[in-house]
Formats: sequence, C-alpha cells, structure tokens
Amino acid sequence: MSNEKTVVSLLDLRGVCCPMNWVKTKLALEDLESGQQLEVIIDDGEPIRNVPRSVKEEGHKLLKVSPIGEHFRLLIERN
Amino acid sequence: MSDLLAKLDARTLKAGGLIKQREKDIFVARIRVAAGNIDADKMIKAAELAKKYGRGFCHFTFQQSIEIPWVKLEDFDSFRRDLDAAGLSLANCGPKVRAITACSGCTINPYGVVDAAGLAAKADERFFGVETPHKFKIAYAGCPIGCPNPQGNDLGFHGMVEPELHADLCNGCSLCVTLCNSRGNGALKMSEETQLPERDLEKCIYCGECIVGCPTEAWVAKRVGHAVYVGGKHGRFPRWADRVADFVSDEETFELIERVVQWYREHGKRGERIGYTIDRLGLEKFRREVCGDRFTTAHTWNARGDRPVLESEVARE
Ligand code: SF4
Ligand code: SF4
Ligand code: SF4
Repeated sequence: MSNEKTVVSLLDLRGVCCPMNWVKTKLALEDLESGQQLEVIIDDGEPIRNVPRSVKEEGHKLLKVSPIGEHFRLLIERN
Repeated sequence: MSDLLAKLDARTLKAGGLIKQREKDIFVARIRVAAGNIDADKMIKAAELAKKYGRGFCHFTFQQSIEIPWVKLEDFDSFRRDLDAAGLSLANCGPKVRAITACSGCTINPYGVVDAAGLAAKADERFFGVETPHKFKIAYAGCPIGCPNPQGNDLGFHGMVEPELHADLCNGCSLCVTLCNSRGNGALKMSEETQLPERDLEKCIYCGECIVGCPTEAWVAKRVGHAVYVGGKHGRFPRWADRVADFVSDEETFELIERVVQWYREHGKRGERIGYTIDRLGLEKFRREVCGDRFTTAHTWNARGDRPVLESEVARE
C-alpha cells in the first residue's frame, strides 16, 4: 500500500441517480492506482444506501462518510 | 349444460377458484401461485390456456395469483383437464387460508434477511385451503421494509435482525450512523471517546441497515428471525395488524400459523376476520392463549408496531 494516500480526484455526483452515480464512481476508481483515494459527493436517500455498498462489494475501502448539508462526502481508497 | 349447472352452483365454483363474471356463464379462472413464484414452463402453459379458453390475456391479482378471465362454463371440463396436464391447479376463494404470498426475500434482494419465498412456499403446502371463519391471508416479507404488506394480512411476518459490532473491523467512517438515522430508528451514535458506533438497545428496530451498509463488515448478524403481526386487513374497513411476537424462528412461523388458525377456528364468528375477533375478545386473551410465554416481542411497540415505546416516555406519563 502506498504511503502517500493523497486524494487524487473529486467527483461531484449531486443530483446523479442510482445506478449512474455508482457507474461514474467505478470509472473514476479505475483511473486510480491501488491505494489512491477518491472523494465523491452523493445525495441522501438511495445513493447513500447504494453507492457505499457497491464500493464495498468491489473490494474498495470506504474511509470516511461526512454529511454536508443534504449530501454526503465519501472518501474511498481504491483496492 | 344445465346438468353441469345443477351440479355446480356458483358458490361451489367459487370455492374452487372459478369466479363468475358479470357475463352469463363466463368465469375467471384463478390459478394458484404460492409465494409469488411460478415455474417458467407453467407460466407458458397458463398463457396458452388464456389463449385457448380466455381472451388471450392474464391478470395478476394482488394475492400474486394468475387469473384467466373469460373462460366459458361449457369449456370447464376440458379446461380442467388441460390445467391438470399442465401441472397447474386452481386457487381458492371463500373462507379459507388463501395462497400464501411473499416477496423475493433474501435470495434475490440485498435487504432480505430471511428466505421469505421459500418459507411461504412451504407454509402454502401445509396450510393452503384450511377452512377458517372468513378468508385468511398470510404474507412473508424478507425484511422490515415489508413489501408484501405483512401488517395488512391476517397473519404477516417480516424478517428482522439484531446487529452486533466487531469493533476491530470498524474504521470509524460513521456510515452506519447516517443510515440508522435515515432508515433505522436513530439508534446509533458515534462515541466521541472510542470513535466507534454505539447502539441504543431501546431504540433499535432490528432493520439491519447498519449491517447491509457497513463497508468493512464490522456489523454482523447476532440473531435473525421474524416479526409476527396478526389481524391486519384492507378493504372497506381496514385494520392495522397487531405486532405480537419478534425473533420467531423459521420453523416457529409454521407453528404460529397453526396456533393462530386453530384459535381463529375456535373463536371467530362466521364471516368475521380475525382482527375483529381480536377486537371483540381482546388482544390480551389472544396473546395469552396463542403466544403464551414463548412468543414475545423484543420491545413494547407503539400501536403501529413500528417504533419501540421508550422507557423514558413511559416514565414521563
Ligand atoms: S420486504 Fe425486504 S426483502 Fe422483501 S422485497 Fe422488500 S426490501 Fe426485499
Ligand atoms: S459503517 Fe462500519 S466501519 Fe463505518 S462506523 Fe459503522 S461500523 Fe464502523
Ligand atoms: S438494526 Fe436498524 S435500528 Fe438497529 S442499529 Fe442497525 S440500522 Fe439502527
């Protein structure tokens, strides 16, 4: 695992519905190298329920979930 | 044809899953489907029957059965033969245990915690058609989301799960707290001290959102079972079911069906749904005689059975 776990990119997925938000997250993660991190912003409701689960199912690490207003910021580490 | 009519009055016909339409000598054939699942080949056969005997369409009932409208009385004999040959049978109507319904449960849907469809199919084999004072509907739901409406059935079940935290796996992301706030009952809080989620036992509704959502599998299922609701119905005078037991095992759901149906047969008046029998005789009597000490609830639930009544609220009153 890399020591410099810098956040490489930020994806704003506010207003993007399931499952497109996950597809976009997945594509962004594929551009990263193992151990690098991605930040995404998603909506409350279905997205906060589904996107993290998909992150987990594909073996990535969800490091942090922080609420920002009616949205959530996810910090994801690529596997 | 008049011979036939003499032998089969409309009521007998109805008990057998053939329902008279407005039109003279025309019937709807209701095909029995348990747990909302039907073998694809049988489904094709049902469609073929609809083309041969009906008007080329099928109707899905709210009880998950398949109906073929526009079957002619004069065709009954051959219709029944074809039905038998296809391995299909007629559903029922009238004062009986109806085809037991279910969602696809945990076998397909990620939120399911029990095998709703599998259990409903087994229960259907055992209890379908048992005579009761009025119709008796049973539904199995995979989780508390309750898609097949357990609270609107005479007897309803939904899966429930008690979570347990494996602290060593938790990365402190707090997602479970978010999910519990929006989907559960706000039973989780991040502890400032340990940076771990803490569960308020009094508030937990056993929905399992935390388990499904946790990215590190730190939340695991400690126990799984079924919540039990009795006396629900819709119709002109809807009645919301009473929550009478929690964490009942798969096998115990069958035992409960038997006990509830037995009690209903003994106490229900003809034409009275079980919810009204309970209203007439009192829920306490029902609990005592059917649930006893063995089947209890995990909380004192509110009247709707969806949120626990908190000790602090009781104390205030
Ligand atoms: S009740 Fe639960 S398990 Fe069943 S379909 Fe609905 S969400 Fe899925
Ligand atoms: S979701 Fe899982 S990893 Fe995140 S805080 Fe809750 S238990 Fe810990
Ligand atoms: S089971 Fe549901 S109510 Fe209980 S802690 Fe988990 S999310 Fe909250």
